[in-house]
Amino acid sequence: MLEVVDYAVRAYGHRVEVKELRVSSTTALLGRNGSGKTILARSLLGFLRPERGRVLIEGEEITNLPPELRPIGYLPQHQVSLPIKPLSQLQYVARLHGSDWNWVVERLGLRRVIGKEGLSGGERQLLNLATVLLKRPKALVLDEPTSHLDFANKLLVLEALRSIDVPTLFITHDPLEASFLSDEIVTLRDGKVSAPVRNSMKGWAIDVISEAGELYNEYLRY
Amino acid sequence: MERLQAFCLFIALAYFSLLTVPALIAYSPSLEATFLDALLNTALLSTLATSVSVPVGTVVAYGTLPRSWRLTAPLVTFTVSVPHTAIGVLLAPSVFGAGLADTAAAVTLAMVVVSLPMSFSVLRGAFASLGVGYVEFLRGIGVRGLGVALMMLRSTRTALISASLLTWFRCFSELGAFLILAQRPLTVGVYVYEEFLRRGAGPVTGASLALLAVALLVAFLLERWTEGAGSR
Repeated sequence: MLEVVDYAVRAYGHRVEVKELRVSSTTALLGRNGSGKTILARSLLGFLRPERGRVLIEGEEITNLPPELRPIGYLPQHQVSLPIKPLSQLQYVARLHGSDWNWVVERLGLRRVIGKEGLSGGERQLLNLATVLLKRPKALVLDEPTSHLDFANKLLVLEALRSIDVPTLFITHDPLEASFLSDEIVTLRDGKVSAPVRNSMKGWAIDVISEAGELYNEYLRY
Repeated sequence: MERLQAFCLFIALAYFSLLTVPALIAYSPSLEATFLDALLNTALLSTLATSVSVPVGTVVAYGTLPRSWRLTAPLVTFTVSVPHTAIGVLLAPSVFGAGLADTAAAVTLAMVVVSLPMSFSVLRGAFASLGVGYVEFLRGIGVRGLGVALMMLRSTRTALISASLLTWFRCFSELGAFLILAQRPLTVGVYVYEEFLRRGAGPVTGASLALLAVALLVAFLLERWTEGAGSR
């Protein structure tokens, strides 16, 4: 579980406060553009120093650990493309952590992708997600990982994210995506993270997005 | 659009012709052996200076990426905004004091100082274009220190090669600092300048045209190469 307690961070003219945030399955952090979502994400990863507060993973405080040593997986807002082939990327990070890369390929269905050159946006994001998972993180912080993807790629990534059983803070500005993926939703407004509400719209959002996916494929046929 | 492109091409050709055609008509090429020596000296010393300037520029560009370090950048780039004869004057006490005046070491030192802003600027722009998320993703997956730097270098390899070529040309085309610090070993800029003062424009026109041809050839190759790299 990822816990953020009595936390405040200030950067780039924004201040974000979290009284208490507990992420045990998938929690969506919903907020408008410029509300400070990325500042909070970067701070939880250790890239921005908080004014006060604590970050805990499975009860252990990690507030003062450097980013490399935090057991958190992170996908930043802008898609990263490393200058190595997909398989080399996985092998490189697996070597860093003394782990095997095959399981993550199977889990995310990347067998076809790792032999490819010129990945689509969605494939690239899946590869990056697989790379992050090789670290065996105890929590994930995903900062709008689908915001720049077209619908088909968005669906690809969202479906993959649903299959992951790591506590995840999914940061988004999109209420539909938040409803599709999360068990709980918190909002960031006026610099304050709200108390969580249970996502009662999950089933509805899954239906809507799935139907939209079928409609999309239908349109593409013409 | 095509008309505009044709017009731009016409302007470019007219400008180029103004520089070259009358000179070609008026003077037959008159290259001397001294010119070839100067050309070779300049090429070799430019290569040596580039091999210093690019690594230093890369390290400084990488080191000044964090916001808190950005204000240190002008300490490297200020030589762009100072006349290079003045750079020569500023370097003179160290060069003359060490007995290096008119040596290959002085020429190389001058080349490094005037070309450092070139390699620094190209590489800093390339590093910055990767975005802050790039470094954070790498650190987030557990890549540390030198590993991050090497991955960034691989991502910016096109810029690294462009920086090397542009730095080399910046070294190759220097004159001002050499006039103060080191007129020997003879470099092409100094050769053209001295010959012009001694014998006028005619006898050095061939040398100038040869330098122009070399510069154009490499500029075309560079343009074509970067276009190809950009589309990959």
